[in-house]
Amino acid sequence: MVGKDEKNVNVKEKIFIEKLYKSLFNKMYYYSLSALGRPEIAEEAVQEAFRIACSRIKVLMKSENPEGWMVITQKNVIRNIRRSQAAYNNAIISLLAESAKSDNVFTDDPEQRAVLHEIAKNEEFIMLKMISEGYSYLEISEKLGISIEACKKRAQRLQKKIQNNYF
Amino acid sequence: MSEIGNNKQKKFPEFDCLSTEELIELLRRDSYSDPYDTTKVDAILHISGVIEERTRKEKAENALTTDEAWEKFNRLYLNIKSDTPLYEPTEKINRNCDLNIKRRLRVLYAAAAIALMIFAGSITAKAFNIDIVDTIISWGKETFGVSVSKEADVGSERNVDNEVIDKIADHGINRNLIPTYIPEGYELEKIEESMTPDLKDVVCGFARGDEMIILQYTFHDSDFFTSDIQKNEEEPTVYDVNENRYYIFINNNRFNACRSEKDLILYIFGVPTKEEIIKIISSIKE
Repeated sequence: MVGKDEKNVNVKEKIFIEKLYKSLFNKMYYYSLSALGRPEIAEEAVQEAFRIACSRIKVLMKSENPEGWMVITQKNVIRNIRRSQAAYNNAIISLLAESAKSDNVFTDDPEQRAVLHEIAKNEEFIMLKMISEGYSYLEISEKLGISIEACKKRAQRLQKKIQNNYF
Repeated sequence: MSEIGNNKQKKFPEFDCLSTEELIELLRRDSYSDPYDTTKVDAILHISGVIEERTRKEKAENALTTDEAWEKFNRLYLNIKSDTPLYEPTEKINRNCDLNIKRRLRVLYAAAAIALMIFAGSITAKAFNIDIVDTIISWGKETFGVSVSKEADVGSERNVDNEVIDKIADHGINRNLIPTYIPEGYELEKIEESMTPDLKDVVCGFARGDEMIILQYTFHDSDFFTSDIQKNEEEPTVYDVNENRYYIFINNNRFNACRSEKDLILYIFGVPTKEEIIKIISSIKE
């Protein structure tokens, strides 16, 4: 969606978004940093807010208060980041407990255990842990040598895998 | 189309005299408030601008410039072709997890104990020697509309055996902090204790069929301990009982409560009704 809109963004819209970006980036960054605590995830939160803005550029430009619109978008991004981290925490909790407890509190099903062990061994687990600890997708993508988009898709597939096989 | 900057930004001199740490705390608290509340936008932008100005003076050499950030945005983020946001709302995920956790009794309290260990590792230092929970509630009064009840008159009921109280007290919990009332049918199933250098958790699980009530004691020795608790859209309620202040809130259709003191946070999770949770907290003597 962002890609399609970006192709259709005209020169006037590009100038508008760049001007808005340069006037608001720092203020939104420090707001995000206050909320999330880490510079890298704070920066990514702002970048994501502007990415959303680009996908809704026509709505944004009609707004009577584009700065207010951006602040609201930023707050929603922050809220979703927190919820996302909490959701991945659930998966981490399951995996940590599984590896920590020898009496296998969570499952007696050998297939489920195999899935959990498989996940825990490889880079997917690393990704899951990094998300839950507040690392940005950019940081994780750099560590794994993949794009941000690929990073996000892998995380979503992993979440689904754990839910389907474990829960 | 509105031009950028046509909305003349108001000035808020009352914030200029606050320290940077205090301003950061204000923004952090605001990030938990209703995202669609537009009444504080100008104040937020002003505060962020003050922090930016002060930070720029202190750390000029390491700051990411706006031009660099804009270049990064165009290079790395703008062309992500996904139809969905990078960070999606996770209601579906949380709902699925909740339904399945109810089917596995032992998962819930073990998860709570381990979750606190994870949260303890990621706590950020925020405090000015003030009650964190109180300040969040007081900041959010406009948006939460928190109501304060009079001291609850629910009488005292007792149905918890001394044996159960002894088992919990064996983990270092003051007997006067242990409720003497638990809703009918719930039996103590397990007690988990976990420790990190700064934190000790004692988690008690009371089970009734597929349902579970969690009693969690978190001991911390840091002035900067913070804890985030998830609630749904309804407003939390403050209850003063036995000279103690509890915050009651709803999450996933269950009533929960928390109480914060100098080095202890007491949580009660998973109670079916409001009346029952009030009975539980009323039975805690201290």
